[in-house]
Amino acid sequence: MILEIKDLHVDAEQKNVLKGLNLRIGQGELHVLMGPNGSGKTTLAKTIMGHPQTKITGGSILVDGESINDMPPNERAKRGIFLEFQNPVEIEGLGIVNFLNTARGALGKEKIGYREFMNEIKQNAQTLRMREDLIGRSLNYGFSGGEKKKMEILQMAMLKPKLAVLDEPDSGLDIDAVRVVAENINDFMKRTGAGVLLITHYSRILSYMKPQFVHVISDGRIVREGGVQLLEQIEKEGYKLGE
Amino acid sequence: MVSYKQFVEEAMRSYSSLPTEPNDLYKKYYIDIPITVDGDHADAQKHAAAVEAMASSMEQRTMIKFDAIVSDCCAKSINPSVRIVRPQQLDPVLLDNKLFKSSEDKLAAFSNANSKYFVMIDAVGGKPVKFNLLLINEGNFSVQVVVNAAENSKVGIVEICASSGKGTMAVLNEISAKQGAEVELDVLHNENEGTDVASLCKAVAAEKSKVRVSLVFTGGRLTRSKNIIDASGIGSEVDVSEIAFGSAEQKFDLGTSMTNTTAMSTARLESGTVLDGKAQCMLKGYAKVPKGAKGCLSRITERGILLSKDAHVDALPDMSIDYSNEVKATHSAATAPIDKEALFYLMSRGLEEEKARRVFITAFMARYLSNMKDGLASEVAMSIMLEKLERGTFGVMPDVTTRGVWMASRPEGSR
Repeated sequence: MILEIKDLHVDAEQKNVLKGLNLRIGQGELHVLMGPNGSGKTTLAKTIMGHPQTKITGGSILVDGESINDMPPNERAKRGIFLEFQNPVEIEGLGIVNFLNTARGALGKEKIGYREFMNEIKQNAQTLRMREDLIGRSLNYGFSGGEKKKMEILQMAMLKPKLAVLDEPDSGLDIDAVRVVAENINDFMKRTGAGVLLITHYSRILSYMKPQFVHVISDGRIVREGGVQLLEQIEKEGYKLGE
Repeated sequence: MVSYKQFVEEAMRSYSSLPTEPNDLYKKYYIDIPITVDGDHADAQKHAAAVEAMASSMEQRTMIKFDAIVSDCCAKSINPSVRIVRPQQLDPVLLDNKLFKSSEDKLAAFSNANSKYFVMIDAVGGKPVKFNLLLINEGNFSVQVVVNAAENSKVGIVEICASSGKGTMAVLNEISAKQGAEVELDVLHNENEGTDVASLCKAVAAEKSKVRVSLVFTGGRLTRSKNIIDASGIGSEVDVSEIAFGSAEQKFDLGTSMTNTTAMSTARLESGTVLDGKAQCMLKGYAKVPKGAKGCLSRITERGILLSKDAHVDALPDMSIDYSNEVKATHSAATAPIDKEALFYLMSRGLEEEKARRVFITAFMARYLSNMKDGLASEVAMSIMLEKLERGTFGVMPDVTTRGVWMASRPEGSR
């Protein structure tokens, strides 16, 4: 899948947040998006997924050349887009197994037997070093911040999207958990060939990954692009990058 | 010692004189159920055959094997441990020591004056026991279920309440849990739209005993529920969970009064409602922490989801705390339409908007149904709720199809 964002202008909460943003993510590519607080990173993530509070006022988002501007979130998910939420919601009473099964069905995934399905969940939980009892619980209910982040990655692994937008998958994680999450994202990309847009504030998670593209967003536009060497520059100079 | 005649006379006097809602805070918030009384059915045989057929159909659909089937025209106990007694035959000592006094509540007085049957369950220590009761309203029907749990006994009771006729269905439960006993009562009210429901429960938990009451209301035209729960012994625990799922013009008045009578006792109430159409619900949780209740915990949580602009909920938690040191007492109430962020989250995982709404509502209901200790009963309750959510129907028993896939466990210590 190829995701192309062309001259995207977006209003959120009655503010013009994205002001002509361009981005192209191809199959199997790992893109990193960094930028100061309030620069539009999360708005971009939400817009790609079709959040109702983001309003596209110009430009387009294309999946394999077709505009998804007017598609509801579920249709975008069916095209293969996945959003890892910065703040995942808690839904008490919604069992994780039931939820994942329902989501698989909604996405038109091939039916598998209960045992196989459970084994896959358990295996993913194991590689994410999650406690097994969490699987039997309500979606994110009573989870710690780190557990919620891992649950998002588990969902990604189970739902196997073609392109994943990961909004700060490392926030709230301890050092070991950051490495585990990074390894799981790497493994997911390797297994599925999916493209990933990873939004982060910190370079620690990137020390376990090999991004091909790094983008810096500021005031709703991509202001710098480059390879991993840009990360070193950001580490040294911050987002001003020698201005 | 009072005679049965005196007992009924006193009940009728109380019924005439008591206000429908005695709590000052709730004066403006109550539902008055119009009550009529029938004698025994003239064509009892015909009705008995109808009840038999309904019970048989229920057993097939729910896979619950009933230990007793009681209706206004007939009563049958299949399990000898469940005794069905006509009120005239009750031991005067029992009448004297009755937990739910006529002077305490107008509808309790009605029930005391008019109950056609008393279902008596005595649990003794040792092996846990479980009883399933089917209570069917064919006309106007009042029944009482009296549970005496001896020291260290464990008993679970499931009541499925249904109706095929019109009128009032009054079910009064009395639970006496002696030291170390554990009692679990799961009640499902799915009466038809021609029935008004009076649901009453009085429970007293002695030292180190546990009483859990889960009530689910899906049916009926008007419903008034009154629970009086007393954590009366040191270290006792009482939990009440109630949920009403209303549609069309259904009205629910759910009142629970809990008291932490002694030290180190726990009393928790979780009330919830999902309302569609022009349905209305009042959640009236009241907790009292008197002097001497050192180290106790008292908690009221009331939640509501409104599915239409014409639905209405009044969430009115109230507490009276006389002993303020070393007591944990909290109450909270929240009512809202479906959370839009949650909807977006679910849709981002591929669910269409309508499906996402249904999943969210089902999860909300499951939170309460997971408090039911009987797996089959919670399956039945969920099937009825799903049927109502999808087709708007209630009062009939759908095939039970959920098979546990919706159920999630709760984090330890969350209840």
